[in-house]
Amino acid sequence: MLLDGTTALAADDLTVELGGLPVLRGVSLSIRAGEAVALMGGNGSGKSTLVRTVLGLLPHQHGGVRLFGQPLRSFRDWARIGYVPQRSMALLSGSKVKEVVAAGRLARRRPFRPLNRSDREAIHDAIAQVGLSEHLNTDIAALSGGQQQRVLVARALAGKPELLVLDEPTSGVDLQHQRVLAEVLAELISAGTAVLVVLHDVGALGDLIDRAVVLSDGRVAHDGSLGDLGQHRRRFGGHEHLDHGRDTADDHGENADSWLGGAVEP
Amino acid sequence: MIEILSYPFMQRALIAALLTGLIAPAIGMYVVQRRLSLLGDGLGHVALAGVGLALLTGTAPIPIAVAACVAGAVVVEVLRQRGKATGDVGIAILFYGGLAAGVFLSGISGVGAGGLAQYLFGSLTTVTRDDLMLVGVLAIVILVITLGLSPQLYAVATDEDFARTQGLRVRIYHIAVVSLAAVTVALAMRTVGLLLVSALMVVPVAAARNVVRGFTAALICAIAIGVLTAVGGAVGSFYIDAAPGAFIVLLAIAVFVLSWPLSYLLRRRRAAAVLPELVDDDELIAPHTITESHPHQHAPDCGHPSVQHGDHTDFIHEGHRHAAHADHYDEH
Repeated sequence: MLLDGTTALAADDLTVELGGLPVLRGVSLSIRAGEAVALMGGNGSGKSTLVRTVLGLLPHQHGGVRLFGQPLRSFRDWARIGYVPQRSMALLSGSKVKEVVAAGRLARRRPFRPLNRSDREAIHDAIAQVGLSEHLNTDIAALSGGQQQRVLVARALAGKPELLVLDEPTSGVDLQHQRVLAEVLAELISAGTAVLVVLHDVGALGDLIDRAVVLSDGRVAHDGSLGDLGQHRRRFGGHEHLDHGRDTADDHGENADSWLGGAVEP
Repeated sequence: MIEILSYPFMQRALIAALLTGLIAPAIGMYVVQRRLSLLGDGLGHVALAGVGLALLTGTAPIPIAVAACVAGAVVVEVLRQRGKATGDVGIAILFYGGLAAGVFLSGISGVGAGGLAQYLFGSLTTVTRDDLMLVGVLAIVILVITLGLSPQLYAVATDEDFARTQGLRVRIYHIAVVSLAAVTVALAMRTVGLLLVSALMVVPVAAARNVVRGFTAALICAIAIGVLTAVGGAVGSFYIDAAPGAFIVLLAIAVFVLSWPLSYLLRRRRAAAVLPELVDDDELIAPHTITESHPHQHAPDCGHPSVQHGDHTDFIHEGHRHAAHADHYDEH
């Protein structure tokens, strides 16, 4: 695949098996600079597996991944990548907010070198960007779920990434905090950052999304605008507003609602 | 104190205790952070297999124990990384395999399991100059790595996936930590003993986390507690003629027990320190800032400090001072 300089991420015909079972079956995906792509689909559709594979956290059996034109295997420029994993605080509790965020500068630091001035500025800026400046020295375990999520976003932003990958950043976060996240992301996207965000439902991030890629059973079932996704769903008898976890699959739902796990509000 | 320093064997014992107190919590911090607190115990048992092998072959026990311990640690870490065994199962296998091999090998060497006892509980007062040199070199290596690579080791211990996306060689860092833990354990068999060194890797860290906030502060505090209890235990055991290894560990546990009430007092003090400026100048307080999800329901008897604020009561905890308002809490 030929890539120009503005393609941040390109996954081509990716096949991933976990424990001998196929999870991704020939998935292709590309994201350009300044583009915001939502990766959606029901539980077990392969969203997180795709995200982890394109970042090199899981091996793939077939296909290829390129980050900024470089094959994943030889990609070393990790400072250009920001990753916000699913929120898991078990091992991070006991750390101050600024310690957690400082880890986001590691791709830019050499071993045995202390934080320099630009590192410290980037850490403070990232924390300010997510509105947590007054919690620099707070134990992350003492923050609310929404605030903890923002700390993880700040950690990814501290490295000033050009591609930001977020894995379900809105899960368990109330609408008010989703809006704060949406503001932060909108600013980044307008500055040219490519954003890949795994979402269970679009929530407050809907306005930002340029393109929605829906996975179903390890395959891309839809790759287009959120609006098209809504039309597609209506054509196949989907509902405008669906409750979380409700099984809405009907005779036609195979093609629409089942992709979405019954949880999209376009 | 002067008297104790006049004996060369006690000088060596104190330096060995000091070095063990420095390095055990330094490496222990990363081991505990990864929820592998019992790793040191498992490695101690593998070191016994090394001692058994040394008894059988008539060679010096320390180098063989170090080699056995590092090999055991690396094998378990590689098994864990490849998903063949979870951390706790790996440690359990180390535990049983090492102990069985140690007893078996010492048995067929003719010394018997009793010959292992001095390594199990340490023998601080018989530390030789050569032992001290070895521990000294190790201490420098461990401190340089644990403090110098602290940001990298912290990231790897707290969020492996994120550390990978920062370009860190996570596997190598993990193997470095367990290898350094293995060397620490094997060398400590001459000081606090194989069974007790694990306590010095874990207990000061647990105590430090109770009294200070943040990873770096806890690392430094744990090292300070390790040094104080190791040297204090060595000195105390000289005067009351007790086993130094056991006394050091009991002291560390005493510090841990005391750290509970101390942490409570410190939290109260921090909360009180925040209070006056907020009370004195209401202008500085952002109007009607709402707290996010707040599962805890404050009440007069909930244990959080409270203060009367106009027509309502504010509760103070974790840097918040807020009062219930409709279905949320307002920050004041």
